[in-house]
Amino acid sequence: MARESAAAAAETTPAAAFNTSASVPGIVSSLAREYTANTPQRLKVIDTYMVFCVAVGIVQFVYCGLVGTFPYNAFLAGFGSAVACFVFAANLRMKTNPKNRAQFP
Amino acid sequence: MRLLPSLGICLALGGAWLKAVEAKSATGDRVLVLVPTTESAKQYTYFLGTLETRGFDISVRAASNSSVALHLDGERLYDHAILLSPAAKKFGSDLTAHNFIRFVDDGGNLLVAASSELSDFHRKLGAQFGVEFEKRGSRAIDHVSHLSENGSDDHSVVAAHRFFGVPAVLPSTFGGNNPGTVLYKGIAHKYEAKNPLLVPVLVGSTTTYSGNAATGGDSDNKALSPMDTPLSGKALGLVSVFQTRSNARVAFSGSTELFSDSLMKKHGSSNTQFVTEVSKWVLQEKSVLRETGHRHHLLSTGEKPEYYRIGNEMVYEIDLSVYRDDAWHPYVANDVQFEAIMLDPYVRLTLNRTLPTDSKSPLATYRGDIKLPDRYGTFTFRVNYKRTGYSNVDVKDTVAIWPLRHDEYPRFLTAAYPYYTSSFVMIIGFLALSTAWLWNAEPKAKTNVKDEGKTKTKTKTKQSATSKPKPN
Repeated sequence: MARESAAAAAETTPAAAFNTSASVPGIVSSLAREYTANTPQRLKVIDTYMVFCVAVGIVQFVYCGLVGTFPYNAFLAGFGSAVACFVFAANLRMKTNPKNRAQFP
Repeated sequence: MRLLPSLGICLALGGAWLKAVEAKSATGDRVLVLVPTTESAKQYTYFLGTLETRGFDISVRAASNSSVALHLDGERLYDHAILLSPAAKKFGSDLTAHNFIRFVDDGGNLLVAASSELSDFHRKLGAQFGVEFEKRGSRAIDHVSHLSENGSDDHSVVAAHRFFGVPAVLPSTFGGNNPGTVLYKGIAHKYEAKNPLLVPVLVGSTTTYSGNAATGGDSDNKALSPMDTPLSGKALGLVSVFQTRSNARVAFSGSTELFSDSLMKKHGSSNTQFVTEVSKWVLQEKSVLRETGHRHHLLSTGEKPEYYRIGNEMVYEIDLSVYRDDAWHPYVANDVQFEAIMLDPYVRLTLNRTLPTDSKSPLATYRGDIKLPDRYGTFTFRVNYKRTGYSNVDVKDTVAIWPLRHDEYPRFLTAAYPYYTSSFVMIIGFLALSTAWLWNAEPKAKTNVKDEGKTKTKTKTKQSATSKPKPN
């Protein structure tokens, strides 16, 4: 019973992805559902890391906006390292996404 | 014949050298007094007598004496000169106006007394210092406050009681509620008010004017009409003093009778005190400032480095003394300023007096804690103290301020701590990502068995674990 409902859920989730509901909350919730269901865990780890990098970068940017650019080099170093880590994580994600196996043998 | 005066001069020099140890004046005690004739010096016996008791070595010479010289081989022969012969058209061969100016430039002090019959020599001499004497033949006249005794009124003997307030020259007892009365018979002068070095000491009161004594009219012997504006009131100077930048002092008085015994002995006149105070100031017996030493060093180590660094904290100290009553006393003021200059002053600070450790010390130490500016270069530490009536003190020190070496800057700036922490956090995050990536235990079955819980995944992985060795 649970299996059937789960199978049904599995069968219905691809259909739910193609649900033509045009409301924004509907799109967001279906995106979230599709994401949590279909993404491998490794990619999710990278995604968490990327969110963390973005957060750190935003914190530094806001701090610089408030306090001013006095130690400008320090700001560039911190912000640049956050952005660079984000970019490298994105590259790793692209490379290891099973859906891109055709391009990255 | 010329040997005798020169021998006399040599003896006087030798005697002056011996006597210099006990000189009352801060700059020396050789005084040259020039009078019309040596007999006329008798009317100044009281004044000259007080000078002698104050320790001066007085040489009285006649104005026409051609052997009197102010300089010998480039050195001054006298330290002070008092001119009491206003009518002399020229003095000795060596006593030109130019030589008197040179005498003052070399540090000699001058006391010039004029009268209604003053000569062009005195007029030219006064003009060099901004003092314009009135026309020859005119006098300072006052119909209200003048000498009146025994029924005889002499309106040309002015009882002047308006003193200019310079406490360094005249003590405040002369001003205030009970000003003294100085009996003055002579010519008035205009003093250049814009000149900061020239200070009037005794000026005319509201009823004093400069006019012709015979008629009481103006100096052209015409009766005064309402359209005339003779010199009068506060603009009419009777006694003015001048201090040069080289600390030589010159005093101009339009009256020789001011110094005479007759006016000094009159009842109610404070001529004696006035003349004493003014002569004390001119002959450098009071209000003479001196800097005895200055030092600067780092605040932290207390030692004077070869060069300073930008932003260093340092301490500057200077010792000042003032000469009065025959001795050097600590000079107390609250406006001694220190400047650090490189073309423009970067730092200007008022120095405070440190508490004296020794109450008998003749100097006052002024100290300032200075933070050097952020500029590097060659700076001048300067204390430039110029006040009316006091000697000038100008003390300069050239120092180098070096920029910081590359390893002398602060290692971590407090404003940048968020950036430092974010860098280290990124490092830790990358290590966490690596561990998560490498030792990732991915649930094999995806969304199908998610609701079944972990047991199924555990069994599945166990199965896959057991099944794994097979392909190997």
